[in-house]
Amino acid sequence: MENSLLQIKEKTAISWKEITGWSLSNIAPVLTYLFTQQAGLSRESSIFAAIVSVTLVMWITEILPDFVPGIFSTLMLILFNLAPNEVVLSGFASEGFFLAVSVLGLGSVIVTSGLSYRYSLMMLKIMPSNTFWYSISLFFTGLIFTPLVPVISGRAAIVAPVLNEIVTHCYDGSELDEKTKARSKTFLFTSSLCGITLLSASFLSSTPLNLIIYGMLPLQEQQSFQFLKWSYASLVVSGTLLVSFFIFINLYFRTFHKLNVNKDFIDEELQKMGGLSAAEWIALSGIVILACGLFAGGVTKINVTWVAFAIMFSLLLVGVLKATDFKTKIDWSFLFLLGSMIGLVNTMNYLKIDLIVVKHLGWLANYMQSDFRLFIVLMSAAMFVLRIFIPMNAAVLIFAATLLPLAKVGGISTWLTGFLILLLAETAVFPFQAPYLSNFRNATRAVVNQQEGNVSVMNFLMFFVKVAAIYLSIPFWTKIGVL
Amino acid sequence: MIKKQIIFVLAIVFLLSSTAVVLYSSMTKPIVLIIHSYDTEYAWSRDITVGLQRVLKKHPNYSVKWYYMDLKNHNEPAFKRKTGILARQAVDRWQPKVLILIDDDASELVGKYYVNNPKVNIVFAGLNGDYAPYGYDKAVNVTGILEHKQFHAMKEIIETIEKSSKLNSNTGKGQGTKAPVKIMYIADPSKSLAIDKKYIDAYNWSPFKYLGSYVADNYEQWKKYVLEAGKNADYILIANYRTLKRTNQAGLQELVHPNEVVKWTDENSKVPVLGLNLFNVEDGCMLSVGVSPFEQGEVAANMAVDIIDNHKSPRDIPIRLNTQFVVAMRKGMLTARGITLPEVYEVFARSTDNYKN
Repeated sequence: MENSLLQIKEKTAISWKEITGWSLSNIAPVLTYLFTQQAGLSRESSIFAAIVSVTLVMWITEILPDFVPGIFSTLMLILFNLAPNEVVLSGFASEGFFLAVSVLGLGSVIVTSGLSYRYSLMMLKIMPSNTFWYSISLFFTGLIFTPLVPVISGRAAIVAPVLNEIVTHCYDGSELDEKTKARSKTFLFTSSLCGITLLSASFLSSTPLNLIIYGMLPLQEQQSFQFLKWSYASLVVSGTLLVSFFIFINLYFRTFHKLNVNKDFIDEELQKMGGLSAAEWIALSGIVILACGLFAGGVTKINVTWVAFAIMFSLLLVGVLKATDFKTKIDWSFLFLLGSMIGLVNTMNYLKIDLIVVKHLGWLANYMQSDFRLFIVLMSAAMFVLRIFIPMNAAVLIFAATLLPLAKVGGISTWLTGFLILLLAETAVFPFQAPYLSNFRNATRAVVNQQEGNVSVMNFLMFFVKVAAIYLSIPFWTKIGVL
Repeated sequence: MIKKQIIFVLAIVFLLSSTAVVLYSSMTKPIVLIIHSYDTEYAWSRDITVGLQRVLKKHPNYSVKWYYMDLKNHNEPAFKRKTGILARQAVDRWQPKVLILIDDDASELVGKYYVNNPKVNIVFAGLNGDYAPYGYDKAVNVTGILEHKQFHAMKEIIETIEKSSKLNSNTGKGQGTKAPVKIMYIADPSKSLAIDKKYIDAYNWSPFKYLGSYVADNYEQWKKYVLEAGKNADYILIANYRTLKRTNQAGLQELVHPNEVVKWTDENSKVPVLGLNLFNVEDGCMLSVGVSPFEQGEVAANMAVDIIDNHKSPRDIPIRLNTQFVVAMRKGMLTARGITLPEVYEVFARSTDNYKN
């Protein structure tokens, strides 16, 4: 958010990335328009391509916050009359949009009520004091909040203080040498990091990007792959990732020893908090009602989106989600990105540009259909390379806009395609690939001082585990009708 | 403090009563799940939907859900298996009061799994052949409308064209021709046409001579049959061609766009090509006489209304045969072939919005 246009002006030194970004933003639409006109596209399609080219340049070069190019594209589509307003703005009236608002609202209450902090403290109190159990606890803290807190940085904000607490107090008076200590701290750091991110693709509500992909799926697929079915269909991938993660992290770090936990401090904190507050009870009820809504959908005949929306309304009604929190704690910038992205895809379909994509990349659709295993390799390699140069959001959006229409034509589940994109895109071998985790790194660096090289090795290994997990899931997907 | 508590209690009462009302309304709302065998873009499915909506729009108390199996674009066995599983999952998820199944694939992949299921009432539409293969003959929870092609209407149209050509002597057949008019049917390898084939082959085409049906496995074979037909037949009948495939430059199989098939067929056929489906004209054919998709949709929806609102059991609603047909034409193409039809056909096509210049 900090790199707004005004702040860019205020900066004394302007980076080459920004100069390149703005230069390309001026050149790309003109070249795209001329090229597509020469290729025989209609005037409307060429203008659409030009608008998309600017939006992509802005996303890739990160010269503006992600949602600003989204707003730009919506505005341009309307001003150029490329589609009726109800098509361009359809994202803001979609179920995906309301699901996102609701999940963000509930997520913010889980954090602000203190429920997540209480859970962290109790976990530390119960677990045996050694690196093995604490690594598991830290991992599962991130994992438990993965479907509940729909923003990675939000989960990072929950896990970071717990990690800091362990590292600050548990190594006092330890007889370990510095090298072992550093390795041990990195072990805990990596567990925390992977807990926050590893299964992001496995839960519909775990990241804004999942909700964007959900919003881009055909309505029929949206109805089929709501919360439970989404997680169920990704079960084998999730299981493989979990088992492999614990094997690899323990084999790689091989650092097992006792820790000196300050249980008095934990008791003091819990005592200070007292019993569950009304806000915590209500947040807990919200989670339970959402779960009931998921399981009882067949009886109540109410779509889970509207159950979530009703929960958010109830939180506002009883005052647990305050009007000020509604304004400040819900990430409206992301919601604008979500709405504009869905509108962009629907406009693309309205202009039949998806058919042009299909016409030119039909061979890829054939590969998807005829040799899915090879397609996985190609996609994984492309994503791995692209993610070195392109931020996650832009990579997901580019892949989704290209591959989802192809999947539809190729008879491949669009959910599966979207899921693979999300799973592979969430690969950040190096810290610069994951700016969304910078708050986690910043919050813990002074205390943990992790060895980033070792973290990168683990992330690198986990990428290959992800590819293997996809292959292992193929029989399961075939059985449940996804593939 | 007490005031605050009163307000809180009132708010909670408001919340709970709203929830109860909404839950009651939602749980008692009958769900109608409509499963199409094909996709939203397919003209036949689209027009059946129009028919369904004409009736269902009058019943806002129903919750109507749609599912498209997309089997015209993907007819591979693996896709069929997959889409069948997903469609059945949709039935289990929504637990509809009435399940409307459009065309044969929906009955094969979904309907037969719910025969005599006491929780689901089935209404089918667009079944080309018999309903017994899906177990509907022994079912107490099934009714519907069949879709049998209008061969009689097509025969009448050919007779009319022939009479007109004899009067005008300009269709190339001339007045002195004594040989019977020969008809040939060319089809793609789709399931629905395989069912139709039995009926078209068994139909009494007399006084015309029926040369038989030719099922093209791919686009190349289709072209071959069209070119050969010019040597033997006087008319080619077609119904569908959406599952025709060809090998592209990359050596991979791809579906040929229906407009391309019809355009090529018309341009390369020496004899008139007539369609047995309404949408053939939309695809580029000169003339077609087809079963009314609107009737299929309306009848199926009315049967659903009878089950839900009039509490009729499906077994008390007799299975019906389609009665309506619609004519569609492209005047320019007919004129180019020298075919003149009585004005009533044009009026009929215009009144049903199936007339193109």
